[in-house]
Order: sequence, then C-alpha cells, then structure tokens
Amino acid sequence: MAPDGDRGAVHGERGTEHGDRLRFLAPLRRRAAGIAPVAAPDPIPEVDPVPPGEPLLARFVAAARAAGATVTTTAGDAVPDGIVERWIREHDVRRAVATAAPEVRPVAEAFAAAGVAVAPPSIEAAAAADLGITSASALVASTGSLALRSDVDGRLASLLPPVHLCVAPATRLVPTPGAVLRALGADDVPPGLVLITGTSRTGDIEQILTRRVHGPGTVLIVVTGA
Amino acid sequence: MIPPRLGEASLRDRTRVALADPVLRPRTARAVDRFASHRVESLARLDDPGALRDAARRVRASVLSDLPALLERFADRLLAHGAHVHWAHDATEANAAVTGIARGGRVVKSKSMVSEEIGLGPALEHAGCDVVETDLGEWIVQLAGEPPSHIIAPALHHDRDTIGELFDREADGGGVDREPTALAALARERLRERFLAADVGITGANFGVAEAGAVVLVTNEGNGRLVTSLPPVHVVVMGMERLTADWQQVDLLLGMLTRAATGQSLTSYVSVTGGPRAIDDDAGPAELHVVIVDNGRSAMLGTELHDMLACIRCGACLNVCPVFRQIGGHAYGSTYPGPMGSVLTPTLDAAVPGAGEVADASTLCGACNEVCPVGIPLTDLLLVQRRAAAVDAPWTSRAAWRAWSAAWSSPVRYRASITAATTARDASGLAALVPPGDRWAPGRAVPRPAARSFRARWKAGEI
Repeated sequence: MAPDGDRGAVHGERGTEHGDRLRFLAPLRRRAAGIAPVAAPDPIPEVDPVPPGEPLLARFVAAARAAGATVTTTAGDAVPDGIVERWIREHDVRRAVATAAPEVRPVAEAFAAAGVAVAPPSIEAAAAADLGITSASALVASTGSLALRSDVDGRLASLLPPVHLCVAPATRLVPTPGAVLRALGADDVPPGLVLITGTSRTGDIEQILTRRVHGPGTVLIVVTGA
Repeated sequence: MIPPRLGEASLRDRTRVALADPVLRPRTARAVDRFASHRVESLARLDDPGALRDAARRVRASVLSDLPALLERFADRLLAHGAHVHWAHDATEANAAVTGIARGGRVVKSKSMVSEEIGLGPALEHAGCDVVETDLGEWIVQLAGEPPSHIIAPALHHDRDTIGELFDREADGGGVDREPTALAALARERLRERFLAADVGITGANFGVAEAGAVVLVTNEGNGRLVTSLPPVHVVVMGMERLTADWQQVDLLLGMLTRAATGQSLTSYVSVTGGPRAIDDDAGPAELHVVIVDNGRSAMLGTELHDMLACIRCGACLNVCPVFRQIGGHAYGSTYPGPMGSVLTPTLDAAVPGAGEVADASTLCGACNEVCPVGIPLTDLLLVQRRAAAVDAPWTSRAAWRAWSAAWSSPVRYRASITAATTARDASGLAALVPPGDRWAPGRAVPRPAARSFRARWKAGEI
C-alpha cells in the first residue's frame, strides 16, 4: 500500500527542523558547563542474562507460557498435522491475514486449504480478520518475547486480529531483549520494531489482570526446527 | 467530582477533600500494595539488583552530564531518518507545535505524562481537534473529567462500579456488564473506531536513543502500537531528559523500569519507532514528528535538584509512600504526585501559587529512596524544595522554628524546655493557637506531656 499521497514522506528523505535549536540548547549548555562529566559503566550489565550453556529453547518456551502465550515446538519445518484444523475450531477462524514471509506461506496455505479466507494484511482486511499470521525476526529466550520488524514482519497482522499466530525457526532464538536492541546499533533501526511478550493486557480495572484490550488476547507460537 | 487543583485550593484543603472520600484510601492501598509486592518479587529473581541499580544511576548521571551533545546527536539522527524535530522551550511552544501539526484533526493519544504536564489535551481541543485518550485508565479519567491519579495507573481511584457508570453513558443502551473483561471489550470496540478514523496519533517517550535517532515506548494494552501504526501522522512528545546514549543503556533502564513499575520482566509491548514508514510497509505513519520539551527542566540541570532529572517515571516511589497511600494522587494537585512529584512540582509549576507546599507532603521516611531504580535521593531533594519554600514562610512560623531549633540544640536548654512543658502541661494546648502549631493542630489530638519526664523518673530509680 502506498503512503497517503497528500503527506508523501518517504523513508530516507531528510526531515525538517522547527523551533530554534541554539536557543533551546543555550541554557542547557550554560548549566552543563558546571557539571563534572560522568562516565557510563563499561560494560553496562544485562539485567537478567541467560547463563552460557543454558538451552535457549526451554527458557523461551517457559517464559512465553508464563506471559500467557501458547507455545508449540516441532522438529520439522512446518506446523504439525491437524493443528491448523484445531485452531480453526477453537478460535472460530473464518478470515485470516498473513504476511509474505517464507515461514508463513505454508501455514497460510494450510488455512486456505481448510476453507479460511486468507488475505495480505491491509488495514481493512486485518481489522476484519479472526487471525493474523506472521513470522518473527527474533525469539527472545529470557522473556519469551517475539521481535517483529515492520519492514520484514509487518505491523497489522500481529496487532488488529484477536488471535496472533507466529511461526519462526529455532535458529532465531536470542538470549535477551538486549540482544535484539543492541543489534540495532546506529544504522539498522526499522521504522517500527516491537517486542511482543504474551497477550495484550491491562490492570487498570481494580488491578485485575485482564487480557485482550487493544491487541490480541491469544498469542500462538510455533517454533520450528526445534 | 473533579478534585481541586494546585492554585484552586491549598494542600490542606485538597488533602481534606481526599480524606473525606470513604473509598479512596482502601482503593489506593490495594493498588499500591499490589504494585509494590510485584516489584519486590521481580527483583528477588535477579542476582544482584543493588549493582544494577548502581549501574542505572551512573547511566542516568552520564546522560545528564552530556545532555546538550546527546540531544544534538538524537535530533540529527532523527532528521536523517526523515523525522521532523521540534524544539519546545516551554508548554506554550510545545502545544503550538502539536496543534500546528494536528490542524484540527481527529487525535488518538497514548498515555503520556509530559502531555498532561503541558496541558496538551485541552490545547488541542481549544484548537478544534477531537481528542481521545486510548489507554484504558486514561480513557476512564477522561470520561470522568479528572486528571490521572497515578503516573502509571491513572484510574486507580476507580472501581468496576464507577467505571461501569462512566461506560453506561458510552454504551447506547446503558447497563454495561461490570466484569473487567466486559468493560475492556467495550473500550476496545469504542476506541477501535477512533483508531481507524484518526488523523494523528500522539505518544510520549519512555526513552530516546541518541545513537540511533529512535524512540522507545513501553505499553501493555496495545494502544501504543495502534497509535504509532494506524494514523498517517505520529507525534512524539518527549521530555528532554528522557534520553539515553545507546541501546546498551536502553536495555538496562528498560529492565529496571518495567520491574520497578509493575514487576514485569518486560511489558507486553516494547515499541521502537525509528522513522516514518517505508514505501512498502503495511502500515505506519507517513509523517513522524518528535517534539523535544524543556518546560522548566533546564532550571534543575546542574543545581541541587539535578538528580531529579534522572527519574524514569516508574511510579515505585508513589507505591511505597505513606502519604500517597493516605491522600491518593489528586490531593497533590498537579501532574506528578507522590515523592517524585513533590520534588518536581515546586519547580515545574513554580508560577502557580502554593506549588512549593507539596514538598511538605512527605514524612521524609525514606521509603522512596529505597525503591528508586535509579537511586535518586528523593528525601534530600524534598528538603531542598522545603528550604526554598521556607524563604517565603511567615515570620511567626520562621521565628517559632528558629526558637525550637536553638532550644533543642543544647542539652541544658532541651532539659529546660521539657521541665517547662511538664510544669505547664495543662497549658500546652496553647501551642495549638499560635503558628506553626495552629496549622498542625486542627483534626489532631494535641499530645499532653507526661506529668514527670523520663529523665526525672530514671534519676529517681522508677525505671
């Protein structure tokens, strides 16, 4: 889908600056001159590192389940037989959206073969879908998170439908959220990246854990090649 | 009822309003106890939380010591990614920038304390925009016409019944089911329409990343993702101190923030915004604006209040504060309640009469210092604000404190004062009639000194 014609910004084009940078920074510079420089710790410690040698898959599965996701592992590179039919039944799936990722294609075809209408994720299709199918750029072991890049995994399929199904190979396991963030560096930041940990949730009503507010209330994860 | 704000009533009167509410205290206590115990449990799972806190404190100090250069780097990287950067010295400039971008359109907002601080919602409405808060707690207080009462749980003073009453008005037929899942479902349906129709999405920023020109947003409900993905324009409003140098720093502070706030090892969604959408992305804003806000922050830089700029807005200090527990968030009368707010408000709201008073809303017990994930010495900073406020105190009150201080600084005079008090014990209620006793006494039982002092009884061998 092309961006709004009337706005027309294209990623890579330089942005514009408003207000007076020098005037804004002048009082800061004046006051900062009196502050002794403080060096950040080097290296900066990780909050919850995964000890070397600890199997990442087991840690990922446990953490993702604790966060409210449903996790299936399979040694093969496709989702296990019969599981697509079960998901269709359990979640009453009639319409789905699926990204174009290579890991997603065979799963999307299995849903289509079972009678589900599968479309690419436009806003309209994703808003009407019962299920969104994506892959993930990384699986984070310590927190059970999925890392989705907007330029690879899209935004809509993991956001608008009530159920999100993510299929990704075990080779994408990384130890911590920090591994995903640190790898972005200065130059590999996509327009959007999201770490998804379990389901959409809130505690805003009497601090009671309530799932599915604006994002998916069900997150299904299949780790292939496990 | 809409609680009185700073400048509308004194701290005492605002506190009186809060204490007269029979349900506020139990609701507040339940919420803060839950947050505080989740925090303790999550830290207990870490090897050395003390070392992490020390590292986080040093990271924040390093950022603040190099803030001008880091802000320039951040802005240059954002511009290179195609984002538009706005420098806003104060609330007026920030609101002008955002209303100029929104051009009277339909606005969806994700929770942002800095936008509360600058009064962005009312400014947008004044400029003809239709503005809806999309965080569930924020939507609840917006429907109630109230400000948030806690920086991460804006509606903790409500329960399912008061929320249900507000939602009845939103649901056409009324009679909304009071179950939390049903209330959340109603919010989803109503707000989904607004997301899909919105022209502009507005968020705050938990962290800016200077090396990458990126912004990090931490949410649980998914509204932050919708606000940053669906509308054609995304505006980030960011306090200027909310910066980090690089991803390593974000990694550490993010883990400290979520654990200190709710005890989660990570929130459901951590969203990184790196620029406007690419041409073949399935969604995302075609236009990205970042508004960098000073609004009084630079007045703290390099002063005795400098360390307050390290705050990462987790709310942990609110959750352990015995004063917040009793009076709730609204009695503070400003954007930021609790210990962190009592340090920030006298400076950020310096133009409002009575702003300095909130530094008195503390027992200086130090529980806030203990839980701060970045090691801010909050009680020291509260004393800085109290000293500043004392300059304007009435002469009677200052004279009384000076006399007390002089008397109790010397053993002889201390004993003399005790003897005087026990001798004249029936008259001691008089202290409640003169400043500062007259401010302290109403609503309290004035203590009567014992007939004979502990020292006298000890000497006589009675103890």
